[in-house]
Amino acid sequence: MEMATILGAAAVLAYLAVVTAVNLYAIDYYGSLAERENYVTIKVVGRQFSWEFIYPNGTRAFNTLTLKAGQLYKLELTSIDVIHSFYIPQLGVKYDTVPGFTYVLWLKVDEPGVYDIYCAEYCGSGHYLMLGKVVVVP
Amino acid sequence: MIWSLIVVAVFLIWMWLGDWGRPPYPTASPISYYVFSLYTIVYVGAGVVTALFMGTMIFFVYKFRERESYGEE
Repeated sequence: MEMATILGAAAVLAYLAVVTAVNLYAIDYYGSLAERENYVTIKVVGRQFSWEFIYPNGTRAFNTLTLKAGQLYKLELTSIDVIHSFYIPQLGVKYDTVPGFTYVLWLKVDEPGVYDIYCAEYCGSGHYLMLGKVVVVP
Repeated sequence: MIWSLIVVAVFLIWMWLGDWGRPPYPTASPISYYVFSLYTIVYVGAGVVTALFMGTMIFFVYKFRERESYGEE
């Protein structure tokens, strides 16, 4: 029983470590590993208390990110004031946006619809107002 | 035997509480597929570890329970 407890738990934790590492690598490098197609780069800027999206043609939008279904996007995340966290629970993605740093989040949504964006890092008195939408069109 | 039953019971309770490891949202993206697959794998794996340790603790509470035949008088 003692050995089953120790070795069983160790085996499960080791398996989880390997599977997690492999999958996180696949998520972080999705654009260069799984997809060979062209992607569209969109800059995402977090600020107190809204999300700003800058499209390749220079168009700026606030709190609403419009994407095309099936298209691969490279989101470059940063912040201009404090640390925020770009969180889309329905898609299972969450990345911090840190002033002075740019992080890459690959995003490809196959199902058209509207998905919620939250700030998942307390960023000030208006944190709860920092809401947005991802609108995925066919 | 009793230890095994307790471990299995703890595992089943864990899985029932977590909706059997199903992710909270349907998969709408190939990247979400990775994320939600990990969610299920990690939830089930954590359930196994929790069941082993918590099951053992519960079993010890039973096995080493106070009896009239020993202990301080």
